[in-house]
Amino acid sequence: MSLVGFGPLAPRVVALAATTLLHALAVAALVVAYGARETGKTAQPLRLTLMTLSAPPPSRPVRPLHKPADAPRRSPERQTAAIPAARASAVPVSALPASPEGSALAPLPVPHAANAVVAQPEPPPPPIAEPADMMAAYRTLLSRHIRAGRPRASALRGTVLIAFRIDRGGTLLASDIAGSSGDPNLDRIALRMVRQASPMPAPPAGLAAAQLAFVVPVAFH
Amino acid sequence: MSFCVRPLRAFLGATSALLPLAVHAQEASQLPQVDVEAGTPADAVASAPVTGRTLSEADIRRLQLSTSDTAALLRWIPGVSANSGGGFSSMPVIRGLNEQRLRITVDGSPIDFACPNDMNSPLSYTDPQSIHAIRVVPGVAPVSMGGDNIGGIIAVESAAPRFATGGGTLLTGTMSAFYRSNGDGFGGAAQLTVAGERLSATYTGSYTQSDRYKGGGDLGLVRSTEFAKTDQALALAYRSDIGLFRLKGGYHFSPYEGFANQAMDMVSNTSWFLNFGYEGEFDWGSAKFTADYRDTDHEMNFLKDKMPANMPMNTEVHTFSTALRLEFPVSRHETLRLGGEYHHQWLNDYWPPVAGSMMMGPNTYLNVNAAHRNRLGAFAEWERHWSDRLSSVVGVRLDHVTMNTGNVQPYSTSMMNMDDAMAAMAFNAVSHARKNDNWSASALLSYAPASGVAIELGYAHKARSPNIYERYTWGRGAMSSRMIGWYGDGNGYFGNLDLRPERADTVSAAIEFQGAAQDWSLRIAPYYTHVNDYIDAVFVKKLTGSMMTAFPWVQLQFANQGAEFFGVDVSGHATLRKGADRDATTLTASLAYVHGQNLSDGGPLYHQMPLDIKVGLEHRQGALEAGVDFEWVAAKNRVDATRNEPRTAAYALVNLRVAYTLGPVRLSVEGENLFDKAYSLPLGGVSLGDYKATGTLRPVPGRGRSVNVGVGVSF
Repeated sequence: MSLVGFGPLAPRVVALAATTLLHALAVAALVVAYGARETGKTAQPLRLTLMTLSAPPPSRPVRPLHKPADAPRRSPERQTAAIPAARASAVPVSALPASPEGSALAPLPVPHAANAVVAQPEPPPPPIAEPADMMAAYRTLLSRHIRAGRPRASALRGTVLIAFRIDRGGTLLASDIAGSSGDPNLDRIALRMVRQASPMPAPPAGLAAAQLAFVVPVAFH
Repeated sequence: MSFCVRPLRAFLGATSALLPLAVHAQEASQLPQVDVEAGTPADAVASAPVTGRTLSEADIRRLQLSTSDTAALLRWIPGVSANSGGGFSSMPVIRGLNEQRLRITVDGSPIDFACPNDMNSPLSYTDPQSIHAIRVVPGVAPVSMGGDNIGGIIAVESAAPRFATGGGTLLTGTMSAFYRSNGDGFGGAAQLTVAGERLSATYTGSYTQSDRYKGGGDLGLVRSTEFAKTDQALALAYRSDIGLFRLKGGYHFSPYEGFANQAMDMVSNTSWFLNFGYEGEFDWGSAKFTADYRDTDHEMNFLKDKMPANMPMNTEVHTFSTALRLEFPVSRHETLRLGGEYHHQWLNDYWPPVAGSMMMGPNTYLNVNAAHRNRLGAFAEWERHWSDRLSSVVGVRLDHVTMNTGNVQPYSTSMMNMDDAMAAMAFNAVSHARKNDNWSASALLSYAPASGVAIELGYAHKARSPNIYERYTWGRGAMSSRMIGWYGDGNGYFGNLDLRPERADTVSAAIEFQGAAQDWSLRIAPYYTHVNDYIDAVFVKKLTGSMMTAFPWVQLQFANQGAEFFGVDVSGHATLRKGADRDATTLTASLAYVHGQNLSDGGPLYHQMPLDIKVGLEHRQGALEAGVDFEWVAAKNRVDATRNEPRTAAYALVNLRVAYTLGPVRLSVEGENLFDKAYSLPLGGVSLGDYKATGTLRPVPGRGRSVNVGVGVSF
């Protein structure tokens, strides 16, 4: 092949360069527009922190997403979500103490963890009939609500753990990736799905504010 | 490059933070797992409509033993047939609409026409041994799947890049080899992936070759059917925090491929490509960008069955295409898709003079002089899931096509080339620049009224502009015009500068029933397509030899006609026995009927497949798989009189296959055309390789009995 065979070079180079540039500009414009908007909204920069997640008090225990064979047992007083980091050297695994209710500020974690595990409560706390039922029903309702807006054509496979918190009206206050699938694209699809689910069904009046933080495993089959 | 990646990463990171990240770390309850999977068929209305079909990797591994021709694999999808070309270059047809009317992509990249006989058709750059899946969606395909086609899309896909999980390095691969007794065909393929958590590299290579095959029964040797080729590719993928980047480069070389139904053979085809892709997910939606380049050098002349003769014909093609596709989930149940595409094809087709030939010299015959065909397309599509059972996708797109070409010249202006000389003069006297604005629209509605039932209704208006050969070939000599055409009919063709784009309106429906646990299924898909300005051919004159000897061929010119197609595809399966694990005995069946009519001359259209019925019985027990396939094809009596299309008789074929899996090794044996049935290919055209040697013109025979053995290993 020669440049002669390639035909008139200059117009082609101009056309190709212009087309590529146009596409690049379109992507950049979108990225910048959204980036600026969202950066403005974001109170804090992205931080990698582990979060303490408590097991729910009701009779229905939290099911581990990927229960390791030798899962450490934790005290029932403080059930924590152990979120092993995918790259332990970059994100040390530690179970942080839960922040006092209402005091605010531990950032929601964005650990790039391959396997997120919520520890089993042991022994299960004594059943408290009505709130437990209420909570179980509400969790199922939330899960169904989130699934209703699922992406319909994702070819990716894996499981992502999303942590989020809502207010008493069901509006999403915060959300993030608590356990990565290992594929950043898939993680973002799962996160987007949860964020788009807001507003969620308002929690029943009988549930305490402390119970409005959730984690949800999203499994793409 | 880091100077641009860092700010980009910062922006992209920011976009993924829809809400402030600081939250109260408090006790969190775990919700029941949310499963994201295709529920009802309505879920996949935009990506895999019921009307479409996919050949999975398992299907392909089962079928690849008998053929190196990817288009021939697709014949197992009801409604898809294949017009014969070379041993690995058949041209697929969807519901009567042939390859030039389809959009065919390999890993998302379109491959352009690069031969006046379409010898190096897009699927010839693929090898069944290395394909992961093939998706076929007929003419009602959503416009986001591509423009500039009226008949649908065929998407050949390699396996998605694989990455290691949990640290370490992933090393995986497959190797396979086969032998076919009829034609002494053999080949092999290897695929090797080495990957970490972020970076993945996959090498794919294959080689295949065959001598000429024998027809069934007493039909004997079928000349000009030998072939050899190799395909090599290296694919890199990098999974970064801002998305997936892909880079794939490949090389294809075929030293020879005989064409039983063409005057010429392919004596060399070299092609290389480089594809770049990016896929990213953000809070606002997703972005996908591709940029592809392909360079092809194609040479035709004669192989041994058409010797002695010499007539080099060369084609060079360069293709550049780029596409951007954005998806915005505008609500929880709605997605807006916007996309843009630019496609550039540059084509040069010239026939060097032959020393000592009075006719083919002294000048180079410029068949197509540096033509280009550029297309700028844009689409908008809206997908809405009204409920878990009802979905719709509607879209509109515009493709702006510009074409031009340089002046042409014949071998000479002597009396022997007078027809060509006058045609060249007329061609050069007018402007060749053409442009078209082609509007397309599509609408699909998918409804699952009950579990196991799916109904899909579709309408589409699609348009495509003529290709370079349809518009810009000009030679009116008997010999020169017979070098043009991908119909395998021996006739001569020349182009038409006044061609208008084809515009097709298609309505289709598909209803699918599935039993509990998928024990049985039935799918019925009727359709109707009306095409305005269908590019067919009209009679110009009977051809004669240089000494005014009678020829059985005619000369035709591409022309716009009216056309319609209607038919139905039916398929289903029933599990007769179900055992442990995957053990089962399954009966499959399909029927495809298409009726293509030229509304301008009132006759049947060329190359329409007669009624085709297939029945298969498959038994799987542990490591053993056994199957018998039966195919019955009706006589082809509806033939195109304009092209003197041959009639072919009805036939029935039986194939028997057995495979055994021993750990990572799979052994397979197949008896193809077990009873050595003598038959002619209904879409095979006429056997010009045989005609040259025997002086007898016959339709191209189908392959006789062949015992095929294969071995594959995965690690």
